[in-house]
Amino acid sequence: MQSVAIVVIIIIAALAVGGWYMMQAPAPTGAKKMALVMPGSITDHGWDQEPYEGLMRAKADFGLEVSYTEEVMVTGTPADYDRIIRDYVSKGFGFVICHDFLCKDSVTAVAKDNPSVWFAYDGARFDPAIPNLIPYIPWGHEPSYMAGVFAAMMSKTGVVGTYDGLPIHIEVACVEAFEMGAKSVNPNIQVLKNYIGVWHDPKKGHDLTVSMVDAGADIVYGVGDGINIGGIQGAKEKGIWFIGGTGDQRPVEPGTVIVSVTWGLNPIIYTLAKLYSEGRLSGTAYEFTMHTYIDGKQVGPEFLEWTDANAGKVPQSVKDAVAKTRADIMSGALVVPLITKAPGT
Amino acid sequence: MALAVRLNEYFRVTFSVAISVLIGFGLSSIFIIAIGSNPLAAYVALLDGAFGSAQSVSETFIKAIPLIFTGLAAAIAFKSNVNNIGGEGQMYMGAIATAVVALSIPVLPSLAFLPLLLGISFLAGAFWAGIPAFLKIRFGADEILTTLLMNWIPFYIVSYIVTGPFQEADRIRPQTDFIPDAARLPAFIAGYRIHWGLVLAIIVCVLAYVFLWKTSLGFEFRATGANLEAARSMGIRVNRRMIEAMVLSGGIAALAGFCEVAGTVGTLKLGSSNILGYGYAGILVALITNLHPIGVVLSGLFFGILIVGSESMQRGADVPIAMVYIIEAIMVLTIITSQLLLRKLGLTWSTGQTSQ
Repeated sequence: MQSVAIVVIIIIAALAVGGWYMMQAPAPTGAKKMALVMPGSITDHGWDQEPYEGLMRAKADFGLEVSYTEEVMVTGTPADYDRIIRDYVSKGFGFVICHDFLCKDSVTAVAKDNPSVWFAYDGARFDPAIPNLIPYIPWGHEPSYMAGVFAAMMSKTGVVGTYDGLPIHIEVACVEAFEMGAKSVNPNIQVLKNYIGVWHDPKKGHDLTVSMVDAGADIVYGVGDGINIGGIQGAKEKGIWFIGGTGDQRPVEPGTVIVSVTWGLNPIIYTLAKLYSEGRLSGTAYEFTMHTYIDGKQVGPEFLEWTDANAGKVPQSVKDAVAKTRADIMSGALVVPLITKAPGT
Repeated sequence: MALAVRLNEYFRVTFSVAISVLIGFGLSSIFIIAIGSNPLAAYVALLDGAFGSAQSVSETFIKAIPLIFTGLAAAIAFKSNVNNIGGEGQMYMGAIATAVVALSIPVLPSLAFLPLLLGISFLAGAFWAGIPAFLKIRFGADEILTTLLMNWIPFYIVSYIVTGPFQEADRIRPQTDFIPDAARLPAFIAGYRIHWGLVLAIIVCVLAYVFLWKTSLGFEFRATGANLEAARSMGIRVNRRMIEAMVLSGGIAALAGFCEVAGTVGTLKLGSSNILGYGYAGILVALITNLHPIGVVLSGLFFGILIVGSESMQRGADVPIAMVYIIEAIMVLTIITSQLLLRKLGLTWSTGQTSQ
């Protein structure tokens, strides 16, 4: 019976690892060790790629020893975060970032057990009882508002579209701010809004973008990564402009993605790494907006404008409106409302 | 069968699986070398990830629990001539039922709460599998297609529940509140996540073995799977048996969801995997044991080791995540190929495919 065979293999494997374990002696390098755990793929042009790149920059600049785990939610489930985070702690990592809002329970439990290790996760509420657990959050509502202004002024049909994965806090903030931005320049504009239900599926983003174009939209703002890869393709097929979201998606299809909203996850992770390497992390919630400055540098979400190649396709009136909106946001003359619950829920 | 002959057979199977696993590691090494990593270091990291500490052994068993349930679900269905590809959706139904009921009704004592949740999640999965079974028998709808498509519906029901009516009180994350402690499967050992779901999984596998091989109804299930026409002419009500097998399979798959929510996690969260979800992986778990219920326990563990271990290669040996998929696929292929080869050489063993 095959079952017996597998038992034997397990026993052999266990013995083998026992032997190896005794022979192994970890060689400490003395470098500070930092780890990043991500739900998706580091090549997704968004939620996962941006922090990964920030980590790699930090490795080069601060001499940190770094490690990452990607696609946790592709190979497994949220239940796996617990194991991965503990694994890093047992390997001597001093700072573990879990870049997902579904890992709060796991990271909280591990942080309680290991008060001498720093942890960070994507969340908003700091708990003074666990001072080594840092929530950080990128609020993308301000650049999304700018995207709304841009979209409404670029639209000739009077219909613009926006979509996202799921209607939860930071996502709703972007979608609602986009609508407010669009209506601020054209109160009669029709804003098509949709939540796809997933972030990783390009096909769904593609199909939704195409259906929005069929409903009249001639510019679409996608908040996501995998779904945006598909959405950009759909926009290209239909010959409309697309506004990238979560990261700099202009390079994905330079002839289609005219501007992009980034949440600044690359500089955010880079900055957290810098603070860690200099021993300056503190127990508090790190919230990032366009007004967040650390060491005199703006860190966080940003509206990435048209590239030089596309500058000729943006009318001067649009450029002026975007510049004015930016100036008003930065000066505080315009406070973009932060809406974290989708209307009707 | 004489004991000596049987032991000889055990030895042969042990040997063939051991060899195929070694060949699997050998073939995987080619890919690991190709990306510029050290295969030996990678395998050390793999074994270390799966067995390196008491914590990682606990995690390996945790990973095996849902795989054992979905593997058993697939084994029972396939054995009875119904191709249930819907373990993923049936598992979700079990998870949804567990979370929704546990959060909706007043807190009961554990001894009443847990059996109630277990029963309800079983029924939810059985109901979900019953629909394609009915469609197959009544209208001849291919159950491969219907079960596969029906996996998506619970996936989106979860999305709705965790962002809508049952979202946590904070209303931030896509997950429900934690279910009451009385509704949680207790842990074996304080400080480790391994819980009584493992015992439940093993008990269910043993029951399934006894049912399939030691009862006349079980024999009718297997006869229906072995040769539909022959079974029909023997007077077995094959349609009825197929519906029953599908419903039983769905209920067992749902227990994977029950154990995830009531045991490992404690809440229902958005997202399980889509590429190698427990439901789909269960089919592989069942296939490499020749659909044997007891074998499923061990192959579920084997997959637990492989998944937990190969994922930790990322951290221990800088091997990219894609290697996890490659190694898993290679292992399944080499084990299945070795079985085929043995059969071709006339060296088959009895996993009960025909014996009674």
